[in-house]
Amino acid sequence: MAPHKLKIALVSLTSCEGCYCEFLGLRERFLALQDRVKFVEFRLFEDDHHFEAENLDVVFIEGSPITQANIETLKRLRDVSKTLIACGACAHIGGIYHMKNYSDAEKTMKYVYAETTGIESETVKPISAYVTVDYALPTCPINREEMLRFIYSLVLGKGPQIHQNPVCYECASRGYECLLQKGEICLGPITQGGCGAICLKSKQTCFGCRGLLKKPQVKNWLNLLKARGVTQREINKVLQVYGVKELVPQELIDESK
Amino acid sequence: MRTIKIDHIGKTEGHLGFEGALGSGDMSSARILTQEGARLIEGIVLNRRYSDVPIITSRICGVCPIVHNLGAILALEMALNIEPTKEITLLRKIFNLAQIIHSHALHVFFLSFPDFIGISNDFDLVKKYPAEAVAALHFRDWALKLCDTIGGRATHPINSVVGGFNVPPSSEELQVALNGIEPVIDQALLVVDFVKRKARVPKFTNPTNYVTLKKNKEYAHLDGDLFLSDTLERVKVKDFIYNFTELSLPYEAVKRVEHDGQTYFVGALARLNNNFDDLNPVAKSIWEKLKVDRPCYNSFYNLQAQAVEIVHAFEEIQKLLTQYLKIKNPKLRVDFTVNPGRGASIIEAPRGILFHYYELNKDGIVTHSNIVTPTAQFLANLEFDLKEFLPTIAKYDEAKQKHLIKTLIRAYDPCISCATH
Repeated sequence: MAPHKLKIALVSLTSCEGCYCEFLGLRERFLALQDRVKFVEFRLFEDDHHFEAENLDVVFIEGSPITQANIETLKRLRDVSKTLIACGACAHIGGIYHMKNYSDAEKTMKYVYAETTGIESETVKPISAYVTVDYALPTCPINREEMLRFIYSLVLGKGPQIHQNPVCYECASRGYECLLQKGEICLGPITQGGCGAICLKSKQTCFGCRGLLKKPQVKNWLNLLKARGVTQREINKVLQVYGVKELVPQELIDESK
Repeated sequence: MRTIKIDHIGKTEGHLGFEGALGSGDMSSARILTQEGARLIEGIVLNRRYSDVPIITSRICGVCPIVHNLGAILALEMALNIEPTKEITLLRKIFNLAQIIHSHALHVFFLSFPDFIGISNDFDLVKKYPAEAVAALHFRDWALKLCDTIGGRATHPINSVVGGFNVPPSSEELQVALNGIEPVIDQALLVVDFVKRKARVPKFTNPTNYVTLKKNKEYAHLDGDLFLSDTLERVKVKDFIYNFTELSLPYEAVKRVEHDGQTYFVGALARLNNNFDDLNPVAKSIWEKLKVDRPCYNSFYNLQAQAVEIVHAFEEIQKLLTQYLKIKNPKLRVDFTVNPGRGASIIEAPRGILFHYYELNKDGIVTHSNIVTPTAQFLANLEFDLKEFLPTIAKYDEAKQKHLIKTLIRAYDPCISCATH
């Protein structure tokens, strides 16, 4: 008897589609996956779409639900799939487009569009605001090796795991220069690792796109920065970038204090 | 009069549909329906520091993040009066060419070409032509790795910033890439030749205005003047920017663009038509063997033009990388101070010319921004093409009509994510 192949859908809401582009970078290993799983929906690879009629084992969701159609698609997919995975920072924690929420919605809309009738741009929220999420595959964009590990652990019937190392640990173990020590706002100490500190390799501070560690020492981190003369306002600007600002205890980051 | 509606068009970047009506002559109509939400990127960058901008704008598109990184950087450098060194520009050119290769590789082989041989699912394509599929993924991967080396990461680069590069790319990695380029070019040639032989290109002619960058003795992509094929005008970038109109319409998340009230074509076919003489030799010979007249007014040939550009970009990278690796201690970082100012850039993205515009205050905070993407520019021309194309396919059944409509749409390589942003 042929083994049961997991039926997987890769679905994009409003997004840059960079996560699935990364995934394609697996090359032969992506093609070899066909032996173990069946992709029933992958719009970069097929013209037809058919997920609505099927019962799915796993659905990956990339992007942000910011149109009514996006929100309906998301809810429908939850109904027909056993496991739903937030794929990438947008789906996981709000991501870059989340920054839209920090400006006056109407004013910003009018700034971009002279005619705003019928243009959809809902408040950007992680998909967990609408549906139950079973697992999150973090980062902007996702790490293809990690996505492959996720899929194989699901094939084996295990829940995918992410090690709880801070980005700092991965940065230091690779010998990259510590930007926090230089007084730059780096989220390395409080951010869930697994990215290999890829930004630090290019001397770019961590903006926390993988989300927070399970027990982040936010207060210590803030004290460290403030001791170096950084203001809460400056820190909050950085926390805004991927939506990390919404994940930390709000009383700790109050600018008026 | 009969209407044709296609709700879902897969294998494009971003979501779109089509609505058209088939009548005689001028009675036909065609409209691309964009189905993306507005992310308001131009609003997001407001009130943020200039250095955040390239990080944010690269997230406009996961297929061509590098051009949105570079486009923003070049515009901001103009605003900040930064003169990049020769080495920086050289490396940026290699970076952009590698971006063009990997974007074209995905589009030519996986998104568009299968239409020309009647395959709608790429999993079938891969099964039927495994050697070509693996070759396409391989040479795409070579380009992605090169982008990783230069930009820190190919999708949403990190290392490419205002003022140059944060850390010099490893010269060992660059040397390894250069050493391995010949077999990779062979793989690209295998795929390009395969596409050339197999694709059955529909007959169609619809002359339009082809707008591209232009330079003397270089197939321009990162700098130069703008060239308009209908008037043979060569204009400075800033003069062009004042003469185009973004049309903001109800229910249209993409603002279509016209220049002097006319639609125009941007992208590979436009570049090939305008700058053919500047193509590298092998790339040039591939097009010549097709025996298609130039300028080519058949938009379906955008597929072949992209294939030719893949080869051109490889030849160019080989030249530029050799040149770059000879430079001792390349200066990849320019010092600068923040000042108020405004700046604009136009670069050739895989899908055509891309505009970025910013105004900064004295603290380097963004006070105005505008981004106009290639797809926003060619969308009106695609609709013009579809309107002309519809009467010529009236004789076919509906399934074939829909297939041909989708073939033309995908040949343009629309990126609705970019266009909506």
